[in-house]
Amino acid sequence: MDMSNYEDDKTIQDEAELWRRINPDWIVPDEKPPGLRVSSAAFNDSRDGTPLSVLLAEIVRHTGRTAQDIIAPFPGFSLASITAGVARAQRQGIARTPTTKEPAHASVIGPKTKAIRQALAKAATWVVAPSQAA
Amino acid sequence: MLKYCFPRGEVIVTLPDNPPSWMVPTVEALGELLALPPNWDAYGAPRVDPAFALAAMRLAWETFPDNTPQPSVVPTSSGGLQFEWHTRNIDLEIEFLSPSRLHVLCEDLRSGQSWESEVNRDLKPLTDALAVLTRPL
Repeated sequence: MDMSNYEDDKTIQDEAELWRRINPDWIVPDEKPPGLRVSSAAFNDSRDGTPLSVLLAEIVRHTGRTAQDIIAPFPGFSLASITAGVARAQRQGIARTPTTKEPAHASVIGPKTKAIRQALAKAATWVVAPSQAA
Repeated sequence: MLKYCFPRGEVIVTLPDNPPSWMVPTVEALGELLALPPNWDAYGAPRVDPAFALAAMRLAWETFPDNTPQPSVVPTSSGGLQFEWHTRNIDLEIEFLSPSRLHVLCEDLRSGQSWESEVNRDLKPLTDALAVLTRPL
């Protein structure tokens, strides 16, 4: 995907929820409560340079779907959320990049240093927590 | 002896007598990563490269003190992996960028200090970070 023409979309409010599916291997122990956290590995771009894929929660809901619908095709997965404001605070932009199959698809654009990935992971909250995942 | 298969071969690990407590679960976790299928992350990730798993085993054997807490062994979307710990007031991550290049991020939650560094031949930043992780509380 050529992202060179994409910029931060200001129509996406800072409060907008960005959802990210979380593979069970990306959930790691943390001695701090609640005892589990998302690994920084969950918030990196793809190997081919495609920016971090997320779903705009507002669009998901607008299309009549729930959080459980998003992870239902992926048994054992959880669903985490960061806000657009959190991403922007880490020098990321958010672009709407809908696909024919996924109208809620968006991309988090910007260099993802390890420190930035860890900051995004630390800021993530659960929409569907590991204990709630199928 | 532990044996793990992947599409183009297998990895056989011979453990020493009386291995440190972190070793067997870490080796087993690395072996499990080799069984992940393509698209394991739902975002198109490739399989974990066995060369990364081997490099990780060697690095752990060569650098982890015996009293190292068991790491989390986490696959990355690029086909690599990382070790990470969030314990003893330390957040430490060792990411394999290639079998011979590491990126280390260490945050001491008590002092608030953090640093990150790419590591290849000189492992001192890594051994320093492990020393912080295994220091007496």
